Amino acid sequence: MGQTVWACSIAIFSIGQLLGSLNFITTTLDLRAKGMTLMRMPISTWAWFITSCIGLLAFAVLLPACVLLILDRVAGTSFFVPSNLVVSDQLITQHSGGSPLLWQHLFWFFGHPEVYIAILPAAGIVSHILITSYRRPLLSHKVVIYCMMAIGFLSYMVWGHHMFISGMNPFSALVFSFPTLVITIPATILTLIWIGSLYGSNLQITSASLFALGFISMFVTGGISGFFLAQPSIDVYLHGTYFVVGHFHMVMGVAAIFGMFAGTYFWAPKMFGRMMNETLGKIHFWGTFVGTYCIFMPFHYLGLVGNVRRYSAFVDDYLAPLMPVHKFITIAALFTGAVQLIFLYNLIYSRFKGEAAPDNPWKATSLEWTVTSPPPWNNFGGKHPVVYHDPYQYGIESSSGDFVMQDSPERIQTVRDDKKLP
Amino acid sequence: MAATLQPPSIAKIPLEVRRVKPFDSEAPSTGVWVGLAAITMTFAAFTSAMVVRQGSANDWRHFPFPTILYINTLTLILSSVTLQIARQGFVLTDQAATIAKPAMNALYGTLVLGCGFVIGQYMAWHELRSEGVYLSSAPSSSFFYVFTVLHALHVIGGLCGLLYVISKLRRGVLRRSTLDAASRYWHFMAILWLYLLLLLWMRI
Ligand code: HEM
Ligand SMILES: [Cu+2]
Repeated sequence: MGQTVWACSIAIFSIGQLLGSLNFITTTLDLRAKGMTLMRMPISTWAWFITSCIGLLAFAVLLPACVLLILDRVAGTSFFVPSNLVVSDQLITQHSGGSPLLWQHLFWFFGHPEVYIAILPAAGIVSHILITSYRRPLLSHKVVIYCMMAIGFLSYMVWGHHMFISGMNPFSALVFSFPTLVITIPATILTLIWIGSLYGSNLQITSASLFALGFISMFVTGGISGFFLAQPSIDVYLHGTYFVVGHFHMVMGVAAIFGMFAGTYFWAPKMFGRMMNETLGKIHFWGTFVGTYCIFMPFHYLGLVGNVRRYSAFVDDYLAPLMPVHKFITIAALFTGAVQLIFLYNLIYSRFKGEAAPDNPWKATSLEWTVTSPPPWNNFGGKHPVVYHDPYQYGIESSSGDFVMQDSPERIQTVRDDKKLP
Repeated sequence: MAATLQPPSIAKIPLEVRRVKPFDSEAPSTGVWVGLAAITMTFAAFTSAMVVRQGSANDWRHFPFPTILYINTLTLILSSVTLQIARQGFVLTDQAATIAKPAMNALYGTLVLGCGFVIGQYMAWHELRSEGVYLSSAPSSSFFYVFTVLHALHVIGGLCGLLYVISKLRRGVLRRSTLDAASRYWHFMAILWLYLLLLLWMRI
């Protein structure tokens, strides 16, 4: 019963995601402001757009998988349930001939694109915030977008790396391992652009930029463990251990959440018209950063010594000596959880009592900063903004300082700083 | 700043601001392309599931199709034709679409034929059940019902789209891109059905 409800809710969720993607894609393609060409869209918007494209095709596979799963559970069909299955010491007799491997294929065909659905919006937010904090454009704004597209495209070809030891043909492990390693190339380029642009920039340390930089750290850490898992011969050993859990918590759990935190600190002034407290924000960052490393780094160690995942108790002889590590992780987790209370307090307190936010506190260029904080009715108060510039005109001389907003008709006169190497 | 924290109540917003429609755009027409991409992907996933499942055990059973299935196929194709006839009768400008009387009848014809298709499919399921072919009888029948029921649900969605077009037309405010979207979806349903019929016919 509970599992049926679960499957139904995932199906409903898929429908919601499909409609959401449809809305995002159509809006992005058809309802842009005047002058907002695709290449003038901020990277954050691009990331949402690409994410929606991935989601449209990924959830369109999860939904049928769920439909078949629900039918197996309530209508007596045998799509996935094999013959002679024993569940809770009971032989299942109503079903026969189903293929569990089929379920795995359908699920992971969705599942791998899903991990990029989780990370790309964060990558977009982080790129956007980093540029604003660096006060200079990225080495290449277009390459970032192309890399995201490449990741989106490749994400459909690698699902088998979750199934190396599922009983597939061993040859297909090779077929899936290769694109998995290829997909790390655009991911690496993204990281190199983020870090490379830091060199010679005029970095502004804020809570938002700290979380954005923290995101890079988590993304790299989690990505490197991905390299290990992507090789079938290593994965045979590591699959089903805490190493995998460490991998995806770093990259999907923590990195994606760091993106959300960065976005919250960055856009809260626009949403609520109040600044969040920077000191509390920085304490929150350092606590979370150190805390999450203390939690998830030991996971890799546990995995390497063979600690399996999905066990509720570790009573086996060879796992007992690992208990102190688990205790340490628990303490670190409690600590990190407590640090989040600072964030919660900050969010609620500043929502009501925070300092009033100026229209453009971060001296950013994109359209949302051209309106009041919080934005007027209809976002632009019934006016249609007109866009004249690429999204990231920083590090130049203009009447407003070192940046030109996208809707400013001002001509850009000086050569950008970034054209001269530092 | 504090005063502007709350969005103003809608009554305080001047009428001309409220009336601003963001853009007169192609959005419905684009949206339906995007939706069709998702639907294609869904049925592709079902197709691959069917191929894999057929090969994974020896319990596939073949059964003859009810004849009415072929009549339904003709009905659906005919409805696409009448829709095209109706479109000939539209007076299209860049943005709006209005229609002449006979063409309107062709549109109603599409609606009736579409309903006929759904009812016909229902009769097909009924016939199969009376022959003892149920959803859970064999993987082949499971897939047969899954494909046909889901397709019928999509057709019902298309019927709602047609109803929407008709109601907009009667009030004289149909946007051209809405018309394009609804008819593109309808034709796609016919094509999808032909594909499904071929697939099921080859495998079952
Ligand atoms: C450098 C790129 C990456 C590579 C090469 C990679 C590789 C892998 C491999 C081979 C596995 C399967 C491990 C196993 O089950 O034995 C895996 C698991 C996983 N990865 Fe990654 N990954 C990468 C990036 C990411 C990203 C960016 C995310 C999320 C944002 C992610 C989320 C996950 C998750 C959630 C799982 C675990 C699934 C489960 O529960 O079994 N990975 N990864
Ligand atoms: Cu994966």
